[in-house]
Amino acid sequence: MSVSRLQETLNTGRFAVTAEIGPPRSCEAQHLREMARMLRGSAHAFNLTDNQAANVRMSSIASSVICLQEGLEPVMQMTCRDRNRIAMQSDVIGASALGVRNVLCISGDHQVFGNHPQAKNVYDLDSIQELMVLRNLREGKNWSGEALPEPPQLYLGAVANPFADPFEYRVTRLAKKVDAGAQFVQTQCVLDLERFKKFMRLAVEKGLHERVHIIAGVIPLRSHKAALFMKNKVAGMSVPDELVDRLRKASNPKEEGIRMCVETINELSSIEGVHGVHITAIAWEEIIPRLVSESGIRPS
Amino acid sequence: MIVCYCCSRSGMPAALTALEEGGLDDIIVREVPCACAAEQWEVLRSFRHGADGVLIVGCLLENCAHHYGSEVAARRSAVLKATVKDVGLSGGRVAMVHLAEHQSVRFRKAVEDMRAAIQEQGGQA
Amino acid sequence: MIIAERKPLPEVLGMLDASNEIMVLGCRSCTAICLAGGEKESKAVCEALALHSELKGKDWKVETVTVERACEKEFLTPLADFKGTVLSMACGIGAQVMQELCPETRVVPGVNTSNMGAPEGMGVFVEKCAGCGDCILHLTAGICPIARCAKSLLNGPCGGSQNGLCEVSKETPCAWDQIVKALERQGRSDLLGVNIPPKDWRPSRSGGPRRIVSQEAAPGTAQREWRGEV
Repeated sequence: MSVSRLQETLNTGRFAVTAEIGPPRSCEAQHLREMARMLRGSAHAFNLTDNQAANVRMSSIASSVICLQEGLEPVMQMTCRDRNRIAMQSDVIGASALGVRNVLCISGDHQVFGNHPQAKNVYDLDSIQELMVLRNLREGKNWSGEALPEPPQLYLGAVANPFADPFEYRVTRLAKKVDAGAQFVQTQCVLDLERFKKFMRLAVEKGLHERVHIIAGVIPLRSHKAALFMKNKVAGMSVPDELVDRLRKASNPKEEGIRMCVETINELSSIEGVHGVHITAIAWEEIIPRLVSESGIRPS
Repeated sequence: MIVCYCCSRSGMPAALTALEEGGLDDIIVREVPCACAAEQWEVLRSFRHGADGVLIVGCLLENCAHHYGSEVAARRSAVLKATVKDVGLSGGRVAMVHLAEHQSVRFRKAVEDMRAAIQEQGGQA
Repeated sequence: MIIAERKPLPEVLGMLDASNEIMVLGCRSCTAICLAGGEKESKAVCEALALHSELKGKDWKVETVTVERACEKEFLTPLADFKGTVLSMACGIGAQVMQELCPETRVVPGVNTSNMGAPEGMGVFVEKCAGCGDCILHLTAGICPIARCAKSLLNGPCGGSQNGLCEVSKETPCAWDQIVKALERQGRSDLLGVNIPPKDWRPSRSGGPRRIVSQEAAPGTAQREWRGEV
């Protein structure tokens, strides 16, 4: 029984496409609606990030509901940094009541990265515990054991990062997330295909691809500078030098970046265990429709 | 008045040679086994007992008789500079000089620099 | 032990403006070991304050006393009659105990008390324990994830762990990287396969200021009567 289009797509063995939308920094709901309309049809579901990089933005729950109103299926993201278990359960119940079904559980970037480094963080739960708590909610009880007359309908996701260390442990950690309740997993952007293939081989060996749907992350890079930024300034990313060079040497880096992204999508769709692709194009969302068309994965 | 904490190995010989050559009536020399033996509190106390400036004289960093005492003293003198600044004197009133025992010229220069720092702030050298 | 750092002098001077008599109170325990508020440091601060007073004509009378352990009343009672301002170089605990002992005396903090930790090497002090009240070191190969993981994850590491370092700072080792490797070294990787459920934070500071009573040692009626405490 699928509660969302994303779940149905994955459960029926079709290749899923998800994409990321960064909510606005203030109440620019109209801008968000316009972006939603532009993106409608490009993916099965759209992630609305939760104060990403610890910068204050319109909440994921509000952005998700706005997207719902525009005919998009949202994936609400909920980090562990800003909410305790009380707020998390409360927000998820509210979100489900408003029609949100897909929820992505993540630890969240530490607040030191954002525009409010002085804030006190929460981290009452970690992402694995968040999965446990939300699965429990879906199954009819809140974490204190009280039965819920009308439990939220949820499709639970988590993230996997095959590019963080220690590498060997990353597959074990994926298994732990699945044990805790992850039904789908979106990975950190794949720029280092070799490492990703290694990760997938290990995951398939463990039979994880039969217990969870793995959706591989991709990101179109506009220039070698963008690639270098990813390489040096973003935690948990692996960017091969050849990639940076290819962009540096290109006569039209933007087009090259798009081409490279399409190539990556095609490669990923042929890897065993990869059941979809997740496109992150923050501040370049308008390229998403083109990426899904050119790689042939646009939802029908 | 400039109080000079001089280490036995390098500071004292250099200071004594310079004193013999003359022109250093405004200094008082205090011997310490190693430059790092001059504690923060005693350097600070010197100011209330008449010092206008305090010089810490120790071995060259790579040649300290006690291996790294001169280095400790260098770090301490940086803290002391900040402290005297915080309480109302200029940071230049505390300084450290590293030298070898025969480098009385370097010692003399350090004293002259200290005199200039004191003059700048309007104290008596 | 408790790790503290000396407060910047300008901040301390600001607290002492309206004072006349100042006692710089040092402690020979934790703040001495972390070189923030022991006898030497207290003497240095005492001299700095006296010099400042002279330079600025503030007329302060400054003295310094260092006690064995400022967190235990017994060591402070000889100072209970002091009528001036106490600049505590002891940790926040010692400062508060002194304040309780002399309710009418103003006690101001000369150090910033930071955390519970240990010396890593000469002059370097690292946080080790968060005082969560429910120790799980047996599950994490003797490395505390609450204190040493920036996100206090119980099922780490997060995706920001790279080259054994925490995403927050290149100076911070990733506690979970250390835990995973340590459990493997100790032959207890089986512990990694078990998800640790949501923590009960009640025994921690989150549950409210803690009061722990020793069953054996806290006196009952007979003992209190005999001691004249009833």
